[in-house]
Amino acid sequence: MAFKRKFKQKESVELVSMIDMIFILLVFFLVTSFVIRTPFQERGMYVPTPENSLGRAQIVIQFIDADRFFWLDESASAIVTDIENNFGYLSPSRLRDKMISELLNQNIFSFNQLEEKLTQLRRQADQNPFTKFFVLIRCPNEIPYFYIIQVMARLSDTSYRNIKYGCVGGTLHQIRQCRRIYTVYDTDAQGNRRQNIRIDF
Amino acid sequence: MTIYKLKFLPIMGIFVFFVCLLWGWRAYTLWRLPFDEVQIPSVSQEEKLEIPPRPGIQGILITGPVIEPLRFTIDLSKAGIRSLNWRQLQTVDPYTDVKVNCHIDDQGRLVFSQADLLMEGHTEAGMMIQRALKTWMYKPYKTGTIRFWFNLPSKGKKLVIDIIELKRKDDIPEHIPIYDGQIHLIDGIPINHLYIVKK
Repeated sequence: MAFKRKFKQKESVELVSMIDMIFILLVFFLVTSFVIRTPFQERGMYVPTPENSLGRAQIVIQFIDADRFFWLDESASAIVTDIENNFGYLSPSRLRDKMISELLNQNIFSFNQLEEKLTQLRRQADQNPFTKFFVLIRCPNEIPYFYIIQVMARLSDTSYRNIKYGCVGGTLHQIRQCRRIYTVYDTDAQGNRRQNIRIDF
Repeated sequence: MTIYKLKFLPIMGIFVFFVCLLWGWRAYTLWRLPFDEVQIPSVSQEEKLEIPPRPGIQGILITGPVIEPLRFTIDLSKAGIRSLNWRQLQTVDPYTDVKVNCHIDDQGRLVFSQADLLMEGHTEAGMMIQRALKTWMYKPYKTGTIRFWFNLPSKGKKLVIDIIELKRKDDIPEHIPIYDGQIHLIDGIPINHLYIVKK
């Protein structure tokens, strides 16, 4: 009687899946190795962090509410200097109050006028391509961010991209209650002497 | 294992070797790192981080207009100003030695009397200088004494103008700079013949 030959199953390693796994491992180790290596190589890299420094701007837009804003630009320095010269005998707090009330009287605009002001600024920026403008937008928490975005969109829409802007939280009340407003004479990067206004909170 | 599959064994071996090499390298790199850089900061640690104050929180500086400096010069817009011709002066009297002590008044006028004009015998040249200087008017930014010394025989500077004693007027705010501009109106004077004495 002849023995029936059993079907002998071939024993083999599944190379295809093994190669896949090896590739995955290879890629994993490559990636993680580079992640670790980066801090070594870039330890000296400068990382810009917010500084506790003075906010410098050509224009400050302080949102009061959804309909009104307070616009401070270089024309305000004439008001401040004028009050400093003529009302210097007042106490510091009364001098500040006088400056604030005068500035508020002349520089509060409705939101509809904002478009006009921004158009003027854009025109000025387009006519002076080498001049950099910085606009500081101060906005209380209650105002929807939508309004800020509208302003940012207008400021970005210049031919030479020479208007930069920054946004910080803040209310008009803080400006009213500031420690001091005064004129500072300073020399800018171009060597021009400027009559700046400083507001200390 | 078929012959076909056996062909891949060396390749597999190489892969495994490289994987092991990379793993070893990674382990070595991790070992070299400080402990806090290997650890991912926990949530509690992250909460302790302070938000750094940003520019504009403590104060704002609004750039104001450029302060245009004033130039203390002869005001050429005024009528009747006459220039002094240097060559003519040299022709008239090449040995001119004339000193003039003048005063610039609040309106910018150049004022001097006959006593302030020291001609040392060079009358013709002195009169010529006097006629021109009498007409000069300056921008009214400075006041005080200004001295002219016409010394034509000198081998060095033939005209010395001393403006040390000029002072800015009190009514001009201190923050406005005043620069000295053209303080004489003499035609044809070479620049190396002129010396201005100032602070």
